[in-house]
Amino acid sequence: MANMKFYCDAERCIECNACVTACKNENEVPWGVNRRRVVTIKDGEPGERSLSVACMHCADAPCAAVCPVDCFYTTEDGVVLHDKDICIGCGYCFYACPFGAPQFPKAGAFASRGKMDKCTFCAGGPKETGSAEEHRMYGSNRLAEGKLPLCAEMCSTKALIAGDADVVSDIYRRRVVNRGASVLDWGVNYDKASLRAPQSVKGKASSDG
Amino acid sequence: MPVHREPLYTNRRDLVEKYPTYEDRKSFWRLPTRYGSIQAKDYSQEFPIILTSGRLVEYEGGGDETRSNPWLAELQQDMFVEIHPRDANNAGIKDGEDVWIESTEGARIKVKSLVTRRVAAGVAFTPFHFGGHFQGNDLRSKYPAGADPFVLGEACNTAFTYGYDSVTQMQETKCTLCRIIKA
Repeated sequence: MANMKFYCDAERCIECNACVTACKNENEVPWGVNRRRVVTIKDGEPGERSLSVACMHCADAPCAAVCPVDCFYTTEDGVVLHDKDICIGCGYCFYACPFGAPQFPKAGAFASRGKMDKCTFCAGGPKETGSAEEHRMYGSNRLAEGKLPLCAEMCSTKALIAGDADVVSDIYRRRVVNRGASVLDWGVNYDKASLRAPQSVKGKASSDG
Repeated sequence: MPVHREPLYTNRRDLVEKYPTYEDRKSFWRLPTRYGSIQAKDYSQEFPIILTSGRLVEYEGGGDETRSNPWLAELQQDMFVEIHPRDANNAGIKDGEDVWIESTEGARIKVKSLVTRRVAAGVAFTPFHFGGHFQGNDLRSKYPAGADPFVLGEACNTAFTYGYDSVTQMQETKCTLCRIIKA
């Protein structure tokens, strides 16, 4: 029994998009459907940070709360999945999700947008585990093979980590302690003091540790 | 020891005095090659922006192979130029609009604008991984059937400089002047 979570470490993410590409490759997601994406804030400015975002597999998932046909379920590993045989493509989950995770294969109003698709934490779907049909509808089921999502396994700087919430938070806690004061120098090696990263960014890591 | 020589097209006329390029050569590997005669003329009033080129993480080299990969091509669907907000404002260019980059050599390429502070004021950046468009024309129909990449775009070197390395005769790809106008 685990409680699976993603965490993206903004001090490490280099916006290489390998997680996005790995996800598309592994799950054969079509053009235009993005289960995972990288968001950059303050692009090109001091204090720039990037984050890889996908379904966060919320403990109390708002998508599940608003779904009119109740197609969502949470696995015993804490992964939020949905049944495409039940989904009517209404798009309520997209409005409810704070991360923009639900994706739709077609544009258009109401059911014409097609069945919703989202990150499955590489845990397949409600079809028979490891079957061709599961792969076609939901992508790969790496969790059943004892593997973590490919995006996180592929991450070159280990910014994106996935796994049991306790393990993920332990890793992050250790990182913060080990970084110590050195992280405070990140983004401040510029000529002008006025361009330095705001206090909120600088103080984040130290206050957590 | 290598010494700095100011690029042929430059807006730093003071550095031309200090770090001049070579004399023109009548025969450089049998080819007449120009250096000083280009540098002598000041283009910086007509072409005020420094243009440089470089890589994107998604693509490799000329990009034919990587632009044919759907997972990579989806992440970079347009050839673009990074322009500082100050220069974009002066030229009346909004983010995402089509612009012409006009080169000192007379060529021009049509690309999308990316208004960003990734570049300094007075500098523009283009990636060099694109091909298949030439001076505003889409040449997709000229590819053999099935051989065209998902994404085509202007090759930045169309709008680049004259100029060759004095030892290897490799072309200069990093430094020239340009003018960017709304398409």
